[in-house]
Amino acid sequence: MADTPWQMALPDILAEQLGAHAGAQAADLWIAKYASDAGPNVIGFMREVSQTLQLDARQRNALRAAVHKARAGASASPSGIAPEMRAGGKVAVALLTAIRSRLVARTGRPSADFIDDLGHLLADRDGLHEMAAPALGWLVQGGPMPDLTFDQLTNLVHKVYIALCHSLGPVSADEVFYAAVEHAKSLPEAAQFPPTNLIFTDKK
Amino acid sequence: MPRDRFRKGTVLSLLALLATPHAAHATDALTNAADIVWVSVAAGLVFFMQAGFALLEGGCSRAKNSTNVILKNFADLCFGVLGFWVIGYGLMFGSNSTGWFGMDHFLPDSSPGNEAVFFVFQAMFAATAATIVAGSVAERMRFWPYLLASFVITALIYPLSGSWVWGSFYEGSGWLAQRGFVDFAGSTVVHSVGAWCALAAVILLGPRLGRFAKDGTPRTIPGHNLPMVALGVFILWLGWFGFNGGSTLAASQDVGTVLMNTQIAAVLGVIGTIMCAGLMRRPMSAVTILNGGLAGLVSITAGCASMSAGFSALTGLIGGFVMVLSGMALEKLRIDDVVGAIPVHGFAGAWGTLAAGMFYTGDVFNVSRIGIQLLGIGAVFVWSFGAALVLFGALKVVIGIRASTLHEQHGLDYTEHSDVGYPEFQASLAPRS
Repeated sequence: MADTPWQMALPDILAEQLGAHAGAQAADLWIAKYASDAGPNVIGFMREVSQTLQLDARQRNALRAAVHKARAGASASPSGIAPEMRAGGKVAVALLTAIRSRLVARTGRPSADFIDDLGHLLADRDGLHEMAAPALGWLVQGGPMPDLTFDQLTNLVHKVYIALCHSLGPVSADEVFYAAVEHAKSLPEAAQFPPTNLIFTDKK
Repeated sequence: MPRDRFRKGTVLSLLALLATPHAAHATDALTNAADIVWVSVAAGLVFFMQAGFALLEGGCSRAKNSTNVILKNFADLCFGVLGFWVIGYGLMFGSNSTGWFGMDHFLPDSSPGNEAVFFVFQAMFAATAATIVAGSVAERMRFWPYLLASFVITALIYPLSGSWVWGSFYEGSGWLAQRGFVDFAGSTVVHSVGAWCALAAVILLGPRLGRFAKDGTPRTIPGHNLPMVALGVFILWLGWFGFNGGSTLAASQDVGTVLMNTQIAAVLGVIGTIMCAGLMRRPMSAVTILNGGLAGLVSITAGCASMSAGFSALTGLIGGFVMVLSGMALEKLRIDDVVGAIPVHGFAGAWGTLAAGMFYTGDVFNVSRIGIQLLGIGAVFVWSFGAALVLFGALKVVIGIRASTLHEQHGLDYTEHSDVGYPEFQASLAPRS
């Protein structure tokens, strides 16, 4: 399949961050194992590169930030999105924000179990791929929400539900979700895209 | 004394009843009009047990899955009876010259006479075995694979082991029956088979999302309607009078013995459960106590025609203990059985079958008889659990048995049936666009 702009720029980014030799090694790894996938597993690639090249924490973070920046720049084009999906995106962000607030209110920050579990779920094959780290980072640390597509947001909502079930149990997870739905209903966009759709309808 | 005479007469008639296999030969069973009426009424009562299972299992599930569970109960009756009619009846009751399975009377006709009545009664038993699975796999098993499994259970798994014990309606006899194995109305033949199939299914399915914490601590997922659960158990209890009482296949005085033992064991099953829960410092939850009644009923099903009232009480009492303790053991193993069907029907059923040998009137604590009971319990477990592992394993590989996590989150009512069980109080959940 044809490479997207950020994928085409990846060898340069790797060379810039890791140096010519290590960058070429990393680029070879990308081409050999990841580039041909329909939704390449950038998180898996980062992990493997870090292990293979024995990158330290600073190098890993710098590489992750550079790749994320390139990826986000390539996908930040809202034109052509259906109005319902745009409203749905806002509702999903409100829902996730409310869930995050409740988690923070409960224990000061989301529990380590939750973060660990969600990290694994987001890094899975059907996870958020290169957006997994920014999304997880936002849930842990707050701040501005990374720019996710509607599909990525609905996927994130579901993964958060699973992680909540694992860490808190399904009864508490449902309580957190229903409270978040009530909060998200107050948005004007909720009239166009009810937040219940995010937890009840099958979008697949 | 008249009382002694009655006791001797009862014992003799029971021994005569048990000396012949559970279902007497077609030529001498169900020829009397009163017998036919009684067994027909009993078949109706056993059919009504399906409603009891539906209420019990639906109530034990969360609101978002309740319709799915009830529909599984409803549909497994249909697929189950079909499988039993086409293949199962012949395998179970057809001429059994080898002792292992019947070889004729497949797809029996509804010609007038005893066979049709016997078929209807037995088809309800087969459906009972199948529907036990629904409660264990609730809230995460897909609808279609479940229906296919129900068909195979009643067409093959249930009737094959059933023929070992009861397969003598026409000619021949099952190998366990030949050895004197006692299971009057099906503690093992019906209930344990259903439970062992359920055990295989839940092992392959895995627990519901979040049912166990990382360290294995079980988390309670309350059902959405406890009154429904209670009503379901009342209906099952009522139906059991047909299940056990009808198994005499005759409107005879033996029915009274069977019904009395059934009632006493059920009551003691509840008391045993309360005692055990108290001793173990477990919460005396509604579902646990209600399941205690079922554990007593399942326990006495094998020996209800061959025990004294005192031993029936003991069987039911211990059945309650067995149910609570085995339920705790399954939780430790991280096995998620939504309604507790495996402890109730599997373990209490196995205990009841053993008790039928231990407390056999006139032959109490006969080691040889107890050995035969253990052989039967083990053989039926190996067959039904093994065959169900293969069945559910094949379904898992070929079409998948587990609902996706997304469907589990949304609830199987909507994702499998496009329905919402309670549109009014689930209004906040109902999709509006």
